[in-house]
Amino acid sequence: MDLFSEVYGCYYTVIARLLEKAQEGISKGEIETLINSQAFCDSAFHLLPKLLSGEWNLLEKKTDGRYYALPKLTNFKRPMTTLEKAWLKALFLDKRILLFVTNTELEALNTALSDVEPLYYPENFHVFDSAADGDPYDNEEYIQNFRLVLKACIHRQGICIAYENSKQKQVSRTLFPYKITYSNRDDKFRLLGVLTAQNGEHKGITLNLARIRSVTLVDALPFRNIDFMKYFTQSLNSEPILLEISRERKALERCMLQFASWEKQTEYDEENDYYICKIFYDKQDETELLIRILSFGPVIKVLGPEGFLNQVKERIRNQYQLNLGDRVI
Amino acid sequence: MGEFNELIRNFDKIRDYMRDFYIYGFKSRNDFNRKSARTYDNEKRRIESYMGEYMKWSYTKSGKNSFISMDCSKIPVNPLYSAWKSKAFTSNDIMLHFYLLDILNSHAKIAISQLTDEICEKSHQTFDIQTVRNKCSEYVSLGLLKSDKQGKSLYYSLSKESFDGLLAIAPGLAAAVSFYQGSTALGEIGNYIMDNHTIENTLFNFKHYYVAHTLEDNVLLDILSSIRNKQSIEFENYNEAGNLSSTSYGIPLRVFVSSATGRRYLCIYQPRIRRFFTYRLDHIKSVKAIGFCEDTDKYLKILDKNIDKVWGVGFGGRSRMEIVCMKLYINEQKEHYLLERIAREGHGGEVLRLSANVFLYTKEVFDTNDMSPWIKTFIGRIIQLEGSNQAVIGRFYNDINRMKEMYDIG
Repeated sequence: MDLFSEVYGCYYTVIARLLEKAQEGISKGEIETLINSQAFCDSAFHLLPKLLSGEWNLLEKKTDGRYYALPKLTNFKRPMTTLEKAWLKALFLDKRILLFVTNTELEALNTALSDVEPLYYPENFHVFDSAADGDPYDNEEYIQNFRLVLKACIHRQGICIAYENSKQKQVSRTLFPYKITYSNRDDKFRLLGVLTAQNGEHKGITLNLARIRSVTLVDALPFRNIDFMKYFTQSLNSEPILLEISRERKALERCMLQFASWEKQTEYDEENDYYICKIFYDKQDETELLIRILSFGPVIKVLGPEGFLNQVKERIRNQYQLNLGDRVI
Repeated sequence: MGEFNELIRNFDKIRDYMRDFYIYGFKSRNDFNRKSARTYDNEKRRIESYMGEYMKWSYTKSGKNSFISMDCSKIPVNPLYSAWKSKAFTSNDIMLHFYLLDILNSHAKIAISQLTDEICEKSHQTFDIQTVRNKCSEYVSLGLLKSDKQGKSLYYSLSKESFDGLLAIAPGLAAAVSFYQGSTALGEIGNYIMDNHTIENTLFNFKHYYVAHTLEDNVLLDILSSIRNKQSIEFENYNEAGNLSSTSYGIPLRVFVSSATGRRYLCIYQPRIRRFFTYRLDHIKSVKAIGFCEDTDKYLKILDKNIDKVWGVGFGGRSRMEIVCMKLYINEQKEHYLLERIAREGHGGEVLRLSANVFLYTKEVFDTNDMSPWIKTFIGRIIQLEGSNQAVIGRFYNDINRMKEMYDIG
């Protein structure tokens, strides 16, 4: 089973779409637009000559000036490869699969792919640092709530939820779900949504799925005009965290990998032989970043922003004052 | 000098460049000294095309730096999957692909000779029977087609199991694929299914999402296959600097994964020295199965028995078991979340309340060194740190002093 095959390639995918559209004829401009929107940035430059010159004999130009597909592939998808089936079969063994399909459906899916061996089994992996308090994927109430939240996300529908807050009090909320976010490290699902207050004001919120006690779908109309981007895509802190990274203890590589999931920019300072790295981050990630940076010890130094730097200093000061200062080995 | 092609024949060619552009991002043209400047230019041009808006650049003292940057918590699909979709092909490959599917779609099954005739007729191009047969047999091994022999003739048909068929059984499978492509191993395969069925992920985001590791997935696939088939392996492994490689052997047992960094490791047992070892997947260049190992289950059992003592990936030195004791100041009234964090992240270590706001965390591990970064996340609260590995404990106290100096704290 080969992961790297042209059958999965970007060109094959975009040409399949193109041939579908070209059953009834398609203009050169439309071909170009399709390639530009669905293939790699420079693909049109490489693809168009092959397609339009007839080198690939997939399109035929007719007298109306439009291009028509020679292979007749209306509403057709290539069959699944063994690799794809084996990957799906592996999902059927995953602890979270019942959030998406019912037990009966799962049984039928397994029967449909009974000839295929899973690509891997859960026990082939050992995640050594994920949280011990992951979501309860086998809890029936959790499963039902998850499915309703997912349904609301798919159909862009509002929901009314009963939610247990951090003080273990149950509160009711009406909100419009935006997306579900999952963290492998926390092994938790969280719902991103926009909450609506009685005075009509809106607020973006993040809720742990596991704390939702009940979900009811409600009318979507009051939420139709919500600009989700405003709440969930523009929350980066204006000033990035600025780090100075030394070469000691492979700090550079460790740091680059550790913070790879954040937007960042790194430069080498030749004069001083260290690296300067800017990490752009959401305010809500600040504490996590703080402790992760501390975990590197003295091989990376925080240069700014001031508020963040002060928090680092305060922790080190506290540590020093906890009776460790005179113990140098 | 050949014409520039956006697509590539060999994935390894792009793997290292893409990783450097993404993970490091500070290298200028002069720093890429593995191959010629022309190779660098070509790879950069390809990666720019694949990555689109995620490719950025800046001007520094050492020149123009190109790098890949993204906030992974906001991307619906890993942009690095593009690298897997860049395999080059010939004109015959692409023509045969679409004509084969077209013709087979209108026949329950068809003999190779008739199939060849129909392809030639439809495409207005001549293909010899051997070329078509080769393509068909390639597609049979991919699983796209089925073949069966009737008399002396080989008949081909489309493989029956379709994703649409599975969706008819379980409509929730589309959302499941959108989710798993970003949250489970070999997610690019899920993304291939999404591409084929025009499924977009509008439902899920992924936090702590480490996208670069897709680049080592061909190695992972080979390892998983060897684990499944209980095969011993021989693998080529690079050193940290990436300039020296060596060949190692062993029985692959499990893939260790860090959810906090995305790093993955191969855990093997080496019978000759009777020890477990872990190797970083991104340092492994290739894997080869070398033979069935009937004792695999026995070594897996030993691993399972010991896994509780492995904090990360270290199986320790000769001393085997080490102990760590960390006395912490935690305000019980206001900082209960810290006790929850210890329960969540502390690998089942024992937590004792010694007195008001003072707690003792104790854990036995094979390698204290593995715990060191986690211990430092409690800087500001550690009253005392003790343990049997004096080198690690000493380094901790030394580090605190160095940090005090570094930040000029009086």
